[in-house]
Amino acid sequence: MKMKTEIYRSSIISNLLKETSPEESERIEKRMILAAKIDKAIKAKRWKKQDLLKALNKDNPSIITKWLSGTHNFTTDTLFDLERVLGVNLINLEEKPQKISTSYHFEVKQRVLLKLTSNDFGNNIYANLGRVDGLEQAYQSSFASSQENQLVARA
Amino acid sequence: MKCRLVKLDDLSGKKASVYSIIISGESETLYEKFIQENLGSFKSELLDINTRLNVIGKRTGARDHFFKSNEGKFGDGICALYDDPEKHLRLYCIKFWTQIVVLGGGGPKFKNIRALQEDEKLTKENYFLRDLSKRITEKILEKDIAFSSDYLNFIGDLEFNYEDED
Repeated sequence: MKMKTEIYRSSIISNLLKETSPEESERIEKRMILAAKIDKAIKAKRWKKQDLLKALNKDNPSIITKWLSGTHNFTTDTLFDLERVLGVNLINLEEKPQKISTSYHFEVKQRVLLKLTSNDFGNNIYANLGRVDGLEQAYQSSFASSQENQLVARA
Repeated sequence: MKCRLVKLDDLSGKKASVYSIIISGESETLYEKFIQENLGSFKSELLDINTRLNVIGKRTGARDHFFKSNEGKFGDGICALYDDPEKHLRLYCIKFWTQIVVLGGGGPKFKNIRALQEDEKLTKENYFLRDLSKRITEKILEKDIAFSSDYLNFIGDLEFNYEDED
């Protein structure tokens, strides 16, 4: 008995999902997650609906059913009351310092003053230096080639 | 008549599997029929119902408080997706823990009707699911149907034959 479940794809269902705006989908999802959070808090206190009603000084049990249905658009006052009696955080009001991340990019360059004399021309040590326009030339290079610079930057 | 359970890929997810039923000779599931029957009059409600089922499958699971329980006989798992008194549609389901929901049909609920039996369409849909729930339970007891280790899937013979009784 290992018959696999038949997977069924429906264009009717997928089209309906696509027709719901992302904003509305998010609202529905958040309402349901909020309802689940409240339900978990009630269960964590081992309360029944009546206990919650009593704690909130309310008398209509159907209001709790509605709250937990995942369809209710709560007022902030109701959420504050629920937070108080259930001891959970449903709306986060704390202003946490924003995490600021700063990145610096240093381009480290080394300025090497070359003092060249006419005798130096023709010396192989300058063969890789490239352009030599005069007796003095500022040559910038990165650290990566600093060894070469040290070699080149002799007096 | 025969019917079989199929898993609705669009709505199922890591938290719950959403199944529906195809009656032999028909090309749509009962849930799709429910959508088609009510799309003209109650489209916004259908969009809401469909999205809620999607959230159940993917984010929350089929938690009891999202449903109206005890819409059938004691212990048969028949329930309805929660509907506000001011809303118009009712959708019947069979629930197995928070991991599996089998969607049946439903229809408009009229405000002047107090008992289910006063509405022919809702009665038909509800009693069909009651009967199916009984048949699923029988197959589970006979070990023709089992559950996957994560309880998200039925394993076994998901076809139900009514021909002997027709």
